[in-house]
Amino acid sequence: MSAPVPVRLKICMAGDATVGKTSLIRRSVLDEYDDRYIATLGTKITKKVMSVQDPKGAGLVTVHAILWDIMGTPTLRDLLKEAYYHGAEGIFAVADHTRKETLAALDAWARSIRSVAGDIPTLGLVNKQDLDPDPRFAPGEIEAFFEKRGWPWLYTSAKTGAGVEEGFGRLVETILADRPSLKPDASGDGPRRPS
Amino acid sequence: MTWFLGFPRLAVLSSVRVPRHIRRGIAWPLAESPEGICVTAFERPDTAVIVRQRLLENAEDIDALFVLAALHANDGDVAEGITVLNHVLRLDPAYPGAWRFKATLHRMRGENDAERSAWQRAEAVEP
Repeated sequence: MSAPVPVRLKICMAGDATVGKTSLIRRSVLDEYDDRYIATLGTKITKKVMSVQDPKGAGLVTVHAILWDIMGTPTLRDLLKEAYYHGAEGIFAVADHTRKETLAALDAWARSIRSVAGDIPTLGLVNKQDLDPDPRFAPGEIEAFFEKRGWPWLYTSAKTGAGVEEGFGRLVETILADRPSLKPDASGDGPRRPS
Repeated sequence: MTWFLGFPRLAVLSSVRVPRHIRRGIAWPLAESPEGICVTAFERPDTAVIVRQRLLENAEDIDALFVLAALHANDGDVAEGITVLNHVLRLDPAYPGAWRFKATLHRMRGENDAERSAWQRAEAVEP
């Protein structure tokens, strides 16, 4: 008997530059963190293999989450939205706990993605929890922001790893629960990517 | 003289719009704020500056070339964007998002057949 074919999910990382999108992927996939900042140009694609509970049946399902780490350049966002967001099934909306403006910026990112991919599950990640928050945040402001949009969210730290695995698990489970049926992918792989 | 996409390399690279105030691509502590609070932040340099730096280091940096194509199109030079994007696709015919971006650029120029063709290639590469 052959092994179950994995389910492939395309997930996009959204958010302004330097909020930590690349670092979150690196922490999640490699369990590593690097303090140096290297700006992402274009997109980097990483596959994360996960085993999660099948929300529509008993047992576990293998998921190949194809993570699109997209550069946080707002001026090119709409020009490139079809290139990047076509076929996306979930969004990580990443803000920086130390920069208040990155939270409000998530609306434009989510709007751009949804204009291409539709109303797909979105999970807010407020990253850099290990650092002091931006003092301009009013008490309860972050909670209110996500509650108003109906997006679940959590604090994360790519540096310490806090919240990272929980975030990936929650978004994948939400996507699977929203799917009409678990449609396996023939290859389980994303598009080929130069190393 | 080195050449790049059929033009003198520096001439091509200098066509990337660079803001007058070029910021450095490193992290540095910001000066004290008016409230006297010292904060540390990462300041990302302009994307065009990063592209230029990467292409100076490696004229075939495919990520930088892809974004260079987008910068040209964003500046209104869609034809040049397509030229650079074609170069990207010669280097890597499966570069993520490139065929769909090519379809977008052809649509901007009203080139329906080319748009359809690029979209079909995209479906084959990234179903």
